[in-house]
Amino acid sequence: MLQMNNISKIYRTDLVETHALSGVNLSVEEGEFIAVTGPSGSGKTTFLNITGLLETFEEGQYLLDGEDVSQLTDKHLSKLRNEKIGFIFQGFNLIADLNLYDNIEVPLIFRGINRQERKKRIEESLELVGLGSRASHFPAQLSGGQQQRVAIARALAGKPRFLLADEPTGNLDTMMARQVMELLQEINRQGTTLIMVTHDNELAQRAHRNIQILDGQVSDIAKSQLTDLAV
Amino acid sequence: MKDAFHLAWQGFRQKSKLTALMIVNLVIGITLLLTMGTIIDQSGRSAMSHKLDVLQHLSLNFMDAEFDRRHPLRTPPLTYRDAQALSDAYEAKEISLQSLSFNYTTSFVIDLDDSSARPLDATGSAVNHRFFEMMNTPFLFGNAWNSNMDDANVIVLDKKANDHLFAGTNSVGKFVMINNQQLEVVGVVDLSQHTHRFQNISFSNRNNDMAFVPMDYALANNLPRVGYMPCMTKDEALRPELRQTNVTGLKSAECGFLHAWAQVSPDNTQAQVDELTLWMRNYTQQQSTLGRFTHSEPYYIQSLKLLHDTIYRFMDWERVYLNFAYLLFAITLVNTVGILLAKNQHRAKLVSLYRALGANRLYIVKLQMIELLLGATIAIILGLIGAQIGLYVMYLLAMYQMDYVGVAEQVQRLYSMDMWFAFKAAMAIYFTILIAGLFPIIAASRIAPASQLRG
Repeated sequence: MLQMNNISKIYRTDLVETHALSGVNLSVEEGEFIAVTGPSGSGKTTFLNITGLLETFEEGQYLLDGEDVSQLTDKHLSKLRNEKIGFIFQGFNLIADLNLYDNIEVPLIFRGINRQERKKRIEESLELVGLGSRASHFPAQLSGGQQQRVAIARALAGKPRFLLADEPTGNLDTMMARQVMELLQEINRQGTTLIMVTHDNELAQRAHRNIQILDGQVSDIAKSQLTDLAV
Repeated sequence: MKDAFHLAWQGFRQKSKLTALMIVNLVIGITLLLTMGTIIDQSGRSAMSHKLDVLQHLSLNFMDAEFDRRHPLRTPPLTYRDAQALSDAYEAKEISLQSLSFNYTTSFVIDLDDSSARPLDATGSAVNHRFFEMMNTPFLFGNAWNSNMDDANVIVLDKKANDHLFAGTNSVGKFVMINNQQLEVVGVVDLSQHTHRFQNISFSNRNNDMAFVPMDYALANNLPRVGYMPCMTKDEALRPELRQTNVTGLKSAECGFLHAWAQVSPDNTQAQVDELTLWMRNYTQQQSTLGRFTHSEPYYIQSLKLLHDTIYRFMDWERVYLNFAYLLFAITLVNTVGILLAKNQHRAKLVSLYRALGANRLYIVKLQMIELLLGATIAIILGLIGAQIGLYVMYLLAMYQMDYVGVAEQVQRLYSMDMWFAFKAAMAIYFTILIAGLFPIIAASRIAPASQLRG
């Protein structure tokens, strides 16, 4: 489903060049749950942004469902983001002025889905995250965990091929983090591919596969190594 | 489109104080621009726009050699004898014109036999029968008098006089009294579209003729000459008397009081103007052998367009205000760009989120365009309301300046915005606001989303 070959990303300023990613090779299959770990500044977010088509890269090839994304226009990339990728951010990124229904509706509007279909999808996704009765509430009226569940509902409403989660529990307390993780695992069990960046090795252990980014290099690591690290 | 409008509305509501500041800023600029633009536009209009090139005001400069005309609107009217000579040449077809008319400004009290209305102190014009067709005076009732009635006891009233005397009813066939003489009303005209009293080249925007009487009747009954009436130095002392009482003396005096208008053919304008010029040159040269026409500029022939251009040149202050309004509007546009950029900074995260959720750059531009149009629409509507208030204030000031002696309806016309002008101005303002807003809009669409969505 997702194939990265020798991807490199360099940030340039007048004085310095930073190699955020160097020769990344990665293949992700349908239905996988991958946890991406690594220390701060290692390139995790850059990796996630490139995977989510939010950033370009200098070298290499990125195939999404067999399509080389480096050749695509902004319009095509936006369409791919809208249809195939769901984003879950650490800070939720809900629109404060919109109620939950309207928040979830935004990506569906971008896709040009008709009003009736949008309503159906929004209600389904809100039910899935357990907030079916709160569609008219505003984000500020919800707890952090509930807000993250709304963000998940927004990502799911578009029926994406895979979810990209950037520290999805980073702003939540332990109990809420566990609830959100359980929800994500359930979504993955239902067939949605999940790529999650996390600092938390305990959460990473819940993934099928763990990869570590260190100095811009990506490598698969065994779960036992994670445990060791956690200890 | 409805969904895009909905999202744009959400964006519009964000940072509402900045949005309000942008609108207030635009409203000020638009109000001033529309107010001054309307005044200049209305002042530049002519009810005779289709005849600007074919109507020619004629002057034979009988004045002393040192006479200073100062400007084209102080061109001396014709003396009685020169007007006769011109009229004779026209009747004898020495000059080919479509029409030739004469008028002079007079005043009288119009009364009714039965005193059913208050007497009306009116300024009007003594004209010949060709005047009405030449000036396209729109008749509400009746018609102009015939060619053989230039000395008859008839009168054409303006709508204002007819409203006053006959409560706006059809007064054709009824009688009014002037100097104890009965005159039959043969027509009622509506000069409300004539914002300037151009027939006597005063271009007054305060009032216009309340009535028209036949030229020969006016002279025979010694209706006074109240308009611009310059006299040669030798006759200067007699001027008050020549104005008021001594019409016999006036006919032989070197005092100009008759305005002559020639209408040339629109298909043969230049040739007929040339022919007319030649006649005036020959006439003044011939008269100079009798010691007349000693001035270095013995004759003037000026189109209505030229006279309108002169009026426009006189509107110095209005043009200064208009230029100031343009400048202020430009400043408000610059401010708008600044405010939009500030708004962009605050909502970079929202735009980035939209991009992450699948909006392409073009969609972001579309949303921002709609948002800007929303702001522009509100600003234009408020600006139009502001301009209406501004114009009303300017109208009150104008009336105050003229000690309230002007005809309110005529003065107000100069300070009234017409819908077509408002529409054109609104479209132009939309366009300029959109152009000004392009830079911040494109800048917003180019925000790198990844950097804004962390944390």
